[in-house]
Amino acid sequence: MDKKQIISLLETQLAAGTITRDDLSALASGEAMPVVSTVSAPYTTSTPTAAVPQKQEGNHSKYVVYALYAIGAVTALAGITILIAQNWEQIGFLGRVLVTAGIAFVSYAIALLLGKHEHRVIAQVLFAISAGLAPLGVYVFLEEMRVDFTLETQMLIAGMLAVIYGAALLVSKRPLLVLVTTAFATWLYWAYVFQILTNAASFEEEMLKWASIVSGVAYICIGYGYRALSTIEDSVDKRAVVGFLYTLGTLAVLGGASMLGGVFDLAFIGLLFVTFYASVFLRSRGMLGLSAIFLIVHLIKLTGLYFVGSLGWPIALIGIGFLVIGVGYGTYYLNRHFIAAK
Amino acid sequence: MKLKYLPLIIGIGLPLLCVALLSAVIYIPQQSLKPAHDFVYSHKSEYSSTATYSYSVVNGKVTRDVRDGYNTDASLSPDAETGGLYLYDVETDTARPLLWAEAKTLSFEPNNLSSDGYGVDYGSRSSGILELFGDGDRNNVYVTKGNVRRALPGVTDNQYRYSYGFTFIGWVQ
Repeated sequence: MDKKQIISLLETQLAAGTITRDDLSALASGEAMPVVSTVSAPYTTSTPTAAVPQKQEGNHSKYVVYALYAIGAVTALAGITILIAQNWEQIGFLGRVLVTAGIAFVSYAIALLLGKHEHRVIAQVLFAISAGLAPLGVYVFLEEMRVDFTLETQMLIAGMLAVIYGAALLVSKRPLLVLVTTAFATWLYWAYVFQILTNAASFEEEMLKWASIVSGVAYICIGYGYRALSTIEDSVDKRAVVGFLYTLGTLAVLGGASMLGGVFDLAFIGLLFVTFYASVFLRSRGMLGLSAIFLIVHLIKLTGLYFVGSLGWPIALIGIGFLVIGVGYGTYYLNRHFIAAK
Repeated sequence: MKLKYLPLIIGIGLPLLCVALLSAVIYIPQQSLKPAHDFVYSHKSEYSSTATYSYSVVNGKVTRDVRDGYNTDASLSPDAETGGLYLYDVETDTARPLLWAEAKTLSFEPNNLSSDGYGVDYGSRSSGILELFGDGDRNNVYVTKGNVRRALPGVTDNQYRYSYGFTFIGWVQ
């Protein structure tokens, strides 16, 4: 073993509690080390099992705290919503703005100030509260000013909020802000699409399907780009955000593509194989699961359209049953050997 | 440009490209929506207390029949001026009230399409997804041709917000 390996081993055993700093001090000073451990393999680098329960207990406490944060945020939002609903007329314009835009602004500011890594969960909870209340606050303000909530107004609001929360993302680099900014950008995108389609005399539905496919591809690309470019460490919340974007993107792509019909029924099968491959490449269970569901539904649809007349429903159902079993096993196999194994 | 930025560029650029293409497909043809003929329409306010008529074009001329109104006055002369008729000027995009006496002198196209292929459509704006992105109950009048339509500003103000009586009568020849 070289010097680095020995130092690494000592650090591991110190962290595990197998040896203590006093033992090292005694060793360095040449004194006889007190025998406090029955470990007989001096070069083992495996963590003694006695240390694992303590680490697991630490993780459990952390998740309990996170759960409490989430419950607290949901409770606060529910309380604010009920308060507004019950006292809407009594609190007046200033009160309405304060309990919506005011709280949104304060929670946004506090979340920005909580810059340390250990505050990341509470900061993201505050950002979530702020993002949830900000549109409501703007709506309250507009209603007071007697401004209609038209598509043009929505585009302006969504764009403004996307910029505000995008700026917070650049400053604080919290993973949740990727979702928040994407959500407001999505609002802006769809408001503009509907604004354009009010001037379309026909083909509205086709355009909506393609717009959905485009937004789905964008979500997947944003998720992949964020994972590749983000400078923050890989954490549970970062992986959750990326996974959510992959899943939502897959839903938008497959949902839009499945409704195109016609010659796209055949191309859809090819698209499904692309998403299966992409789920392995991106290690996304959500993408894999949705691909399997859409494949099953599409097989049932094609069987119903093209084979029921010739084979009859009983044989078609037998075929569908075996296909579903095959797809289910294939999904399990892919997940176990290519996604979970990495 | 580094390849690692490519997914993010695609993720942001693709929706922008999509809306740019949609805009081009809709707004460019829309600029050429300029009918050559004026048209006449009737408007019955829900709260109108005057007798109302149903209008139709027969042999190129407008005719009217009395129909159930809120306060139908049977003693009205067949040529009574009761209002509710408007002439839309496509050059200035404005509508002006049209007297029945004047409307009787005009000649109209035999069907709902003008000789240059335009139609008039009346309906609500898109209600969006789960009513989230739409414009609620605002109704507009559109001139249409092919797959494109354009809202007519002369009849899209709030005077028709709660009305249900816009009826296209005909294109003036």
